[in-house]
Amino acid sequence: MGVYFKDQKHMYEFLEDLWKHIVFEAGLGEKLRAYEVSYRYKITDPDGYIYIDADNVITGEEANRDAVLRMEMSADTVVLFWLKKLSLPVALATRKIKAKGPIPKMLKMTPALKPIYPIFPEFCKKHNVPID
Amino acid sequence: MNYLDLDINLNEDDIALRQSAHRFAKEVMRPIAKELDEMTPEQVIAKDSPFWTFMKKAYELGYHKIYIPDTYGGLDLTPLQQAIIMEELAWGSVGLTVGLGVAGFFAFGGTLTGEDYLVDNFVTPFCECTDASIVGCWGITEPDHGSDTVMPGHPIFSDPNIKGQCRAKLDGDEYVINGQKAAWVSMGTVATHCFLFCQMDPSMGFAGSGIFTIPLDLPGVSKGAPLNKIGQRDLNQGEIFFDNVRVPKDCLIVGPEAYEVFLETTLSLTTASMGLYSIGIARAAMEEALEYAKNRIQGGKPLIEYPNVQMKLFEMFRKVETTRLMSRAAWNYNMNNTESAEEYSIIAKVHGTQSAYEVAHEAIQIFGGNGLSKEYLIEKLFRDARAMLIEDGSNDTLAISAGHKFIQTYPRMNDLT
Repeated sequence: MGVYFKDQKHMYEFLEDLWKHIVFEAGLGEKLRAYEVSYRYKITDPDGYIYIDADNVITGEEANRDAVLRMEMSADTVVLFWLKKLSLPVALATRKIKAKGPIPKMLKMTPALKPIYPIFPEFCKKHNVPID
Repeated sequence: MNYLDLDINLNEDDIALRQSAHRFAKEVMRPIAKELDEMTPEQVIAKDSPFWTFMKKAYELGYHKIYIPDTYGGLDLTPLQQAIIMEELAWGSVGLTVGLGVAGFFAFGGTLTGEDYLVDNFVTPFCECTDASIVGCWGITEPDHGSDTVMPGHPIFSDPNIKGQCRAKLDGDEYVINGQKAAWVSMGTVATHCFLFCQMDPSMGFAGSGIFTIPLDLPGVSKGAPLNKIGQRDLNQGEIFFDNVRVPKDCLIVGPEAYEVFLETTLSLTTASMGLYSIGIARAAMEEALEYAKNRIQGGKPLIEYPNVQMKLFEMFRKVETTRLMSRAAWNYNMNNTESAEEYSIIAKVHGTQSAYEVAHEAIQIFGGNGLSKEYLIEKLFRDARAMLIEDGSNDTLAISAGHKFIQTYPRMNDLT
């Protein structure tokens, strides 16, 4: 088990809340639709899945489905990445993040995901994710 | 000349891109490359040289940013579309195509991090540039280290006794760069920016290196003379020297902690690109030979009616088609997986460049004496193809590197589920 989430339930509550905000309230959904991108994250320690597209944010086994971009990483890596404690090239090179799907689409999405960085610590606080 | 593409999934956009790239290759690149081939290296890069006419037209059309996503100002191309364009441009001139590809590496590097500093200072200005006033170079090779620099994963890559000739040291908020890069730096003497590979932790050998995106107008940067060479004379190459050059630490894309694997990923794309370029030049040589064989009369009939010429042409055709299949597959795989399979890209490079060389060689044989004359394009294609066997890692070295990788990883499994 990693250090940031108590269990799978804690992780799912956090990720769902964060991604629903980003996709449905902060405008990422429109970009996902326009760029024809969907994500499926396979997460370990605690284990789980999250699937995201323009209309859906799904967690659990149901989220283990095909997606344009498929990512695999530990739950701790998720947190460290969004806290900017891990750069994408380094994370990919050291296999902390594994990715499958068109690299052009992955790079294309990077600017659209930037709004997550400033709000991420707030969500951590809200869900008692111990980042301090 | 058009060709049958065995990929039955090509869509209208793919075909339109192929046609426009081919038109540019035929109408702009071919004549300019021929002109540049007969110039001295200094004349090639002079202010009024047709080299700059080519560069400006390529930038106007956006060919300098084919690897960069549209969200950064680049083109929104799929890996297949990138491959199609690379083949067509290399049909026009492989030297000019290599130069144009290298021109954008430093900006592409910036998109890998997405960091504001790199995007604002390098990626956005490069993508907005339409007059070729911003040009990058590929600063990896060093005078005493050619092959040494392209062996990630091989034991020699981590040998601390192999000392790099270009080093970077952190000093406060800046890196200080000292040393030099070899005369083989593509676009070295015309570049305004550099995608620079420097040793940072010599105790790790070349594995202890880092990659920087830097401007070249900084105090302490100087350049050598452009290199004179047998082939790809339209590709500028030359040394760059660094004397206490200070760059902000934000210019670092990746350091020793991840350099080796990151380099492997980078090389899996550059070597596959060489495979894609090989299709273009091999196809160009094959088409020259086909046309010549149809028209040249010997023994009272066209050469093409002789079975041995037909067999030679078939061998050329076979090599062009297999190179396309292998190179596109390696490019596509490695553009869709962050855990690269570099040995497949090396197959594409070694098979492709060897095939291009053999096709050009056999084409000269069909041309006979005319093939040796400067009057015909085929002798230039032959010289350009010869250079490819060494360019971007000699095929011998790459075979050692890929052989090692193959032994270590076979059967490679894709463990992402």
